[in-house]
Amino acid sequence: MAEQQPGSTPIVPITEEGGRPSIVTAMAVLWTVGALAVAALLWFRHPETVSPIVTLLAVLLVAGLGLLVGWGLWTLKNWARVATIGILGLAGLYFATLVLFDVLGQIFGGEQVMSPVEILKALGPGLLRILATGAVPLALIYGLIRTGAAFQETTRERKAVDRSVWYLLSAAALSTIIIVLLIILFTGREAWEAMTAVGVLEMVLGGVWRPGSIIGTGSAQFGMLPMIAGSVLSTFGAMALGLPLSLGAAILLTEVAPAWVRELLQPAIELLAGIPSVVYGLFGMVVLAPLIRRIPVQGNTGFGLLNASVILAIMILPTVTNVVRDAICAVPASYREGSLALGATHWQTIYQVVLPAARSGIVAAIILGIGRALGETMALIMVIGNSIALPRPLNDNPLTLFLATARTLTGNIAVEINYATGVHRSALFFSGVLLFFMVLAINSLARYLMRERLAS
Amino acid sequence: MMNNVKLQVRNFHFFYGDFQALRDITVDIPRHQITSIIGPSGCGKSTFLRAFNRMNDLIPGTRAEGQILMDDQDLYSIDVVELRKRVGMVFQRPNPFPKTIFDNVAYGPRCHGLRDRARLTEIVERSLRQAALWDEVKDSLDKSGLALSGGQQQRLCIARALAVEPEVILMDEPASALDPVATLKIEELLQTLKQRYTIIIVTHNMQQAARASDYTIFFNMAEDRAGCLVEHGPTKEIFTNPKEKMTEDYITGRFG
Amino acid sequence: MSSRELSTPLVRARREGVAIRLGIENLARRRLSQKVAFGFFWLAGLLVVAALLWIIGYVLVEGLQVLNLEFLTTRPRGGVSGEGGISTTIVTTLYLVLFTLFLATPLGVGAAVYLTEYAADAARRNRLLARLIQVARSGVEILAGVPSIIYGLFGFALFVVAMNRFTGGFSILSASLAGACMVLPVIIRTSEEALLAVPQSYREGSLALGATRWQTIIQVVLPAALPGIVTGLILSVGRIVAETAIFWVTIGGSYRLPTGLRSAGRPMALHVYMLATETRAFDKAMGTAAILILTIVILNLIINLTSRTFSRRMMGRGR
Repeated sequence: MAEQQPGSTPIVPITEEGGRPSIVTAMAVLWTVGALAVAALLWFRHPETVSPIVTLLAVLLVAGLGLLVGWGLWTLKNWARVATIGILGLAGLYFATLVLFDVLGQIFGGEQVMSPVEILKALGPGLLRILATGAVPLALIYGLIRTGAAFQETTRERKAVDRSVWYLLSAAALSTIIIVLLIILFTGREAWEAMTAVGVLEMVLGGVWRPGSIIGTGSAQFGMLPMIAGSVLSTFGAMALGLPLSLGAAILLTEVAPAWVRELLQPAIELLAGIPSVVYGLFGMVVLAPLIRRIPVQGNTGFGLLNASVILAIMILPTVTNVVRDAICAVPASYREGSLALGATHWQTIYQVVLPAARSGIVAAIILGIGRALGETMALIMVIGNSIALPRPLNDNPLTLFLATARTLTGNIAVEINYATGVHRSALFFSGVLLFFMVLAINSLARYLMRERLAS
Repeated sequence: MMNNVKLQVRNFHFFYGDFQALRDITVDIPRHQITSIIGPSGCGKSTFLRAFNRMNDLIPGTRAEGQILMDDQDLYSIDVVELRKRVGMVFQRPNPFPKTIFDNVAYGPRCHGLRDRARLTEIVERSLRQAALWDEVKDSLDKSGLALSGGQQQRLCIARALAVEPEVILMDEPASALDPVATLKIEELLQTLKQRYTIIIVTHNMQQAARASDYTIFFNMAEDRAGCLVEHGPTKEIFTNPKEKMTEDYITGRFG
Repeated sequence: MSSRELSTPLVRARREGVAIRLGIENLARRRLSQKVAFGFFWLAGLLVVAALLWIIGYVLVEGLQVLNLEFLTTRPRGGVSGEGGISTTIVTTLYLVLFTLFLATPLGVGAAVYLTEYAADAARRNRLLARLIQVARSGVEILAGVPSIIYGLFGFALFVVAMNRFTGGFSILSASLAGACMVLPVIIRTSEEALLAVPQSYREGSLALGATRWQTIIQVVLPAALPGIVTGLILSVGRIVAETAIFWVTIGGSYRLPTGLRSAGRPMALHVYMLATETRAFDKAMGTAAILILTIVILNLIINLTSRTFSRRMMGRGR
């Protein structure tokens, strides 16, 4: 049984034979020489634009770190070994990636057609180059791992590692809120000009969007009401079409369908969620638009709110279905059993017991679907027509409102941001900020409802 | 006195938040013997066991008062990581890692800095022998630890605990999840182990305590559900001639 | 009947008899309404599958016709009729995916490890930390709900404009930085799930042997949670490949071969959009879309396979 003194003595006795492996000595020397060389390089060849103080700091940092790790390797500290392996790994990865893209550039450079033979001829030496670049770091890493037995560490050192890891990881965790703050800060900053020059109320309630290219004069107008109407109407249409579909599919999945149907339907819904929005848009353009154009109404182009509603309904289906499904599954089996034991049919049980019990989850699903619909951009641009005017019914029938073309808030941003300047651009950023907080409020409401359900 | 006693508990209280789980425990744990802790459910036996390697520290809101000394050192003054090397634990349900048998046993020494493959192999063999598992697994050290039977998994966990060379081994109902044959094997194992280690086990099974242990501690629950030490002494005395009526009632099965 | 008559046992029995008879009669009615309702649900399910098959089928049938080696290995040449292939877009997409994951994975997995392994203790010890951790958790929820175009605007304002000298303006670097912010919540959520699924007994066993928290995480918890974490990474890849709005404003759209991180480029999804809206080459758009669909289908298959090995490992049958 070992007699222990707490703290700095190693837990495991250092082997007297062995000592320092030659590869470790070599690497320690390499670190020291390398650190001094890089430091010298930085010092004597620094660009004039960087101040000497900064250069000095950089030199000291690089030299200091290199010497520190080198010393750590020399005295057989384990943290130095881990650090060296990490840096070697990253360096190897970096150089291998450079070579990879060089090779890819040869194959996919694309000036002329490559036959399969030519591709293989380029791939072969390419792969060899990648392996060669990676071989040196790999060999060194392997050497360090093999000689690991020579390295020691005390409990105190292990706890120091534990401590520094704690700081690193907590920074990683805080990064999420930092990013949120950055988003608000930077989009808000860009939006400020429009908020002061044009005014929030004028933008949100104004009915005419005519940015023109004249800044600040009266002829430029930044009323977003048509866009807001476009977003709201397309979302409404998507909900009207998609909600019954989602509810039906969710109830089918959880209550009605046998296992084999579930195995098919669930992955199908996951697949729907993964399809890129531009593909949906393309489908809407190429397949749905001609179909809708068949409706005999004057002014019907096939593009517009109906097209958008159909596409959007399919796009929000996975979101809504999954949340409703979770809500229904969370209803205790005892409720169902109680109802069935009283002689109610399955449908009665669902309608009178399960769905009411899952009510807050279903509402949350609807709200999440609305949030998702409001945030969709590219697919809608491709099918909704992008007209700047407030959407109006095409004839006396109010339903033909959905055959009118429109523009959504998101689409507005995407279509105009690349050439907008000054107040115009700032107004677009403002609509982005508006959208951000709208979706934030919607999602928070949904989350609150879902948590309420869990609490009860 | 110093030579016979490994651990001294002095006026030890333990709290989960506001709830007092253990009240005023004072007892000596003898060296190189098997001490069993018995008592009805919920009286704090496992909490008391976990105090010896400070596993209770992992639960939020807990607080300890009083002292536990090991070889005259206060447990709360030793670094907890070092403490857990000196005081090992085997859990109620076997919990081998999803690694090979070799890596399971070598895990502890590796964590403490040993990387020499030859020495690790030596330690793995020695620990598996001590845990009476070597003959059964010596040809399949690279198989997953999860592929063993329940009894074998528990012996693997014992070997894993032995590999870091502790001084004390804590066992929380080590055989309750196992069949009678495996249980017997573990009890035989304990008899050989006590020559090198001090062993403390918590058990629900009074026959096991009577059979396998040298010293017995009897806990009971007070009205406010705090665990109290009722009686302790050599097992033979406790089971044949208990001093407290409560002890006698428990042993004869009148409650618990 | 008067109230006194209603309450006598004879009347009650007669009433119950009537109820039972009524029950049998309206059972047929209840069964019928169940058939109708369930028929509607089956229809809904059928419509969902039909929509999926129609969309995927149409795109694949139209798009696969265009796919040939020339399409894949020559670069787009621009112009109203959309000449050329999509080779450079493939390279750009690859670049984008690799670099975005490179940025987002350590940050996301690190944050998830902190939130599951260290946060509980830290919150206990320090009130300020507990508040910060709560805020960080809400941060993840908030980020998960931000629309893609907003990430694009943010990326434009910060990475393309403000950090112009470092990122080179419209570039793969800017796009990857913005993309990393977008997939960060996905990685954190799935990694957290995977880490929470690792049995507590593993952690206890490791700590009881005298390992530090970090050793336990790196040697026992992370390896056990790896399949779940990889699933999250694959989900992120799907997200990056499929998203357009965020890259529309950060990556530039140039169809030349990117020579480094600071060159602009055009990923495949963006190419579909630009072909469809700026040229008449719908066939080429379909072709590119077909490749995107195939990629997504393959990624989904991989996810299904890895999550199955994940649950098998957790059941303890891993070998």
